[in-house]
Amino acid sequence: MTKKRIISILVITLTALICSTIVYVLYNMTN
Amino acid sequence: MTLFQLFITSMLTENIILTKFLGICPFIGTSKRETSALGMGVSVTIVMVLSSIITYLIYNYVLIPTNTTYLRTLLFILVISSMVQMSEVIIKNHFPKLNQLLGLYLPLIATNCAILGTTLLNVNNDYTFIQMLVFTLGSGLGFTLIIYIFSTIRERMEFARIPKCFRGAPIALITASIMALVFSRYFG
Amino acid sequence: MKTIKNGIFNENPTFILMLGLCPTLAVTTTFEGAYIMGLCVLIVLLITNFIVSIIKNIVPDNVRTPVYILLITTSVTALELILKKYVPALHETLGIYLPLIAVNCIVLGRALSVASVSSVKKSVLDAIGIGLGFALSLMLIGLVREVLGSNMITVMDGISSFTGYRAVYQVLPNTKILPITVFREPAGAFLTLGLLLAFFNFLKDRRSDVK
Repeated sequence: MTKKRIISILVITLTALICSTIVYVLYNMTN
Repeated sequence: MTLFQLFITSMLTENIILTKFLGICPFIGTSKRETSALGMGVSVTIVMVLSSIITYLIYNYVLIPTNTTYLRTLLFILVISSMVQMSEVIIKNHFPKLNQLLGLYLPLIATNCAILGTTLLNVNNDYTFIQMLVFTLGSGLGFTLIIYIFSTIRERMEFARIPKCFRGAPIALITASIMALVFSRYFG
Repeated sequence: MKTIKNGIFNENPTFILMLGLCPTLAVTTTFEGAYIMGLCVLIVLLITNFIVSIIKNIVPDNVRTPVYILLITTSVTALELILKKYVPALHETLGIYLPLIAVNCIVLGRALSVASVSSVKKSVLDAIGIGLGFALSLMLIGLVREVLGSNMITVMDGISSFTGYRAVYQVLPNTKILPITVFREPAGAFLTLGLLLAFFNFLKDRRSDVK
């Protein structure tokens, strides 16, 4: 696993987490 | 509806290209040659079935129990892109002959409406696991069938004299419209 | 201003670029469906292009596509939630084609080719242009299909729970030539798009001949 690979996976996971949180907040706001 | 009826419906009567417009982008793009059409169809079917199984399981056993169904689009897309990546790697390393046939089309289907569409339909229609498998397989094969038929028609159309403004996409769409009519009247 | 005109005419996503045709064919059975979808795509485009043009230097090159897709999906999911709460009938009409905006080639395409390399201002203008181009083309197709296929023009039906008005007009009452049901069906969708495309190609050829 090259360093590049690890960073890519981390960035994607981070983005996914941020996105999920945004959606979670919005869901609670609209329900 | 019996499983057999479900299969025929998903493949012919409610074909995902001709009735649900899923997978139109590659449809107009890769359907010019028989081999590319077949390659595209098979890749889509494989990825579709694999992704559907995983997304179905995650949706029903993780999202519903935790009341987080609103995450489905995000999750499905993640699963589908990972499946595409994984399939690419596996095919490249273990089935080089298959790679020749399918290799170019796999990356393209990551943003394919057909796969995301089918996975969403699986959960919207509330299928059991077996129904989901049948539906997905039927949809994938239906896609392959239509794109293949279309490519054979288009190959022959290249030799026809078509007015300039109709060449390319317009005539393709009109052909698709006729196909849609035929399928809906014959099998509907 | 020129960027906006470019998005509508020179790079019209439906008739020139031929991208994102799935929703184009699917929701244009009514005029309302058409312009609502156009509006949704415009909103997603705006949000995406705006954010992408801001973070374009922080995102490493090889993860561009997945990150953008996640971003787009979040905007789409947000839109889904909002629509579901305020205009549930409309949410039903759009059906699965609303989440499908997330994999719509137009949005991702613009994010990668324009927003990743242009200023915030240019990206936003491009989003407006392309979004308007998409919306207008959809409205055209929707108008044709609904007038010919149902002899009606629906301007405000699904969103009536939000605005309180309902505006559905009949075009030619007491006539036997309309409706021509084929236009309501998928076959009619392909047909309308194909014919309109041929027509616009014809205009384009005429213009380049004149030059």
